[in-house]
Amino acid sequence: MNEKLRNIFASVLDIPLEEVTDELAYGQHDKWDSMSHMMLIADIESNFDIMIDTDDIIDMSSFAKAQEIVAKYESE
Amino acid sequence: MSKFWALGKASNSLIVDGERTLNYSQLDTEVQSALSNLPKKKQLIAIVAHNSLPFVIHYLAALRGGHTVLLLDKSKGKEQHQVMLTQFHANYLIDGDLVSHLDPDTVTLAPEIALLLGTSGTTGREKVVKLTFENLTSNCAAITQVLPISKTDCAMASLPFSYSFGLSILHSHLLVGAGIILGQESLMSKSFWQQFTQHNVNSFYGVPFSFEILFRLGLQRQPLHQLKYMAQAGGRLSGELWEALKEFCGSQKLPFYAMYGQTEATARMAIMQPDDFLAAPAGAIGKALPFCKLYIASGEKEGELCFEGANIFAGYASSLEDLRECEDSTILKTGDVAHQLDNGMLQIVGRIKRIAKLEGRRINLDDLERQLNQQFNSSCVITSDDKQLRVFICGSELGVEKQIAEIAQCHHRNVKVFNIETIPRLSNGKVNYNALI
Repeated sequence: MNEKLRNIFASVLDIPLEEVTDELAYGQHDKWDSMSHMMLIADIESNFDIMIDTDDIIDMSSFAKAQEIVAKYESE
Repeated sequence: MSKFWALGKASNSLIVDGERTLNYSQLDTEVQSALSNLPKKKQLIAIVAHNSLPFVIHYLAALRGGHTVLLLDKSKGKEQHQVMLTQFHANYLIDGDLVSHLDPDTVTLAPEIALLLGTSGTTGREKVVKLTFENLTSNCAAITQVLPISKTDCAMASLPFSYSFGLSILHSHLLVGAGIILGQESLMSKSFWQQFTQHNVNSFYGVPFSFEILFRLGLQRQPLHQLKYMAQAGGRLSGELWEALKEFCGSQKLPFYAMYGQTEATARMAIMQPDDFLAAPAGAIGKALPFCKLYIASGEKEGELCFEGANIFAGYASSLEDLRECEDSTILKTGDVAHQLDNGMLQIVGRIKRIAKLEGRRINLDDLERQLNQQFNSSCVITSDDKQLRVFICGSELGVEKQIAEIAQCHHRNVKVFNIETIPRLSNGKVNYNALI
């Protein structure tokens, strides 16, 4: 799951895979703005076949958080 | 006319910036003290437009002192700021609380010029819009007449202040004496909604993209029940978004103000009242602001939309020389093509100037075309549907989306590249853009 998620982040934010670390955070990295955030959510939803809740959309503030959130949906 | 920088309205409302909060009389004291550190003679003062209290204090002080303010976009780096400072020979640079005296040589600036705002041009030399003190006061007064802002209201000011719409929200709320929550949090962040609830924000201002986000987050899930009204500007709402907002605002009895404007008209030109919005087709614009006029140039049913009013800008500037005087034009050609509906209402149907609105920013397609033609060794033309840029390149350039996105400063997924054999042209030699859509 983490590799797939890492690839989504690298592709949407257009950054090398090595840059996708747990610390990668919304608003801190200049490529991760609200436009990218919308695209990340759309890609995650279609690739993992899940529907992410509003609370989780606004809570997905870092790559670490994104892993937690996707794991939660995967286990449901 | 009342000046918002005078902070003349007695008010109990607060201006909040994170942990720091000032009431109107405390703000006034701070502004007065910042003003006392500036020279008497008119200066050109560059200020980095943070959505913060230090910005508001220094900005109001500069206007109160009759200086000219050059606003620097905080999302652009120090290097680009330096280009602006050099190009216009700014006397001061203010960034947060840090005031630096740059250039002791003062030139004679036209006394009327209050503010210089960027036009989001993409090419090297910066071009700014000159706005006079009268532009600011007249537009601000008109906006507060047609929007229901009262001094017990409270709005989030999170759109950039280097952007005319973002700045006008600050102006109109200061004039009325309303509450203002400063911040740069995105609508997609938890802290935005925490502040929204905590401060009981009751008006929502957004660009089309903000409303897209609201829908994505689920309108029903957000604390929108505390709202008195919503207002939108900063480009055309798509037909889909327009209908969705009509449905939501109609059923919730939430007044929605669709507004039309551009930086060259200080900020706003027209506002549509909520009842009209519920009955209007997408792209319709409301009535011109009080004491202003909107009409189709040719006098026919369709043509370029023209505007008259005291808020028409005083010309562009790209050098210090241009700041010595003001142009006095009575008519603003908007560059938009309007169509008159049967009920007399005007509807925007296209643009004369080829400017796309992408991710809430203006992109001049002709400028971008020129840049790309230099970048690639083959000719290319660009169209846009306000959702993405469609770049048609002669030959076989592949995988250049990211390179183009970098130049256009947009997301690479919003760039689509097509390879074509030849550029379609009309008989007069001009590019036939319609053949490319």
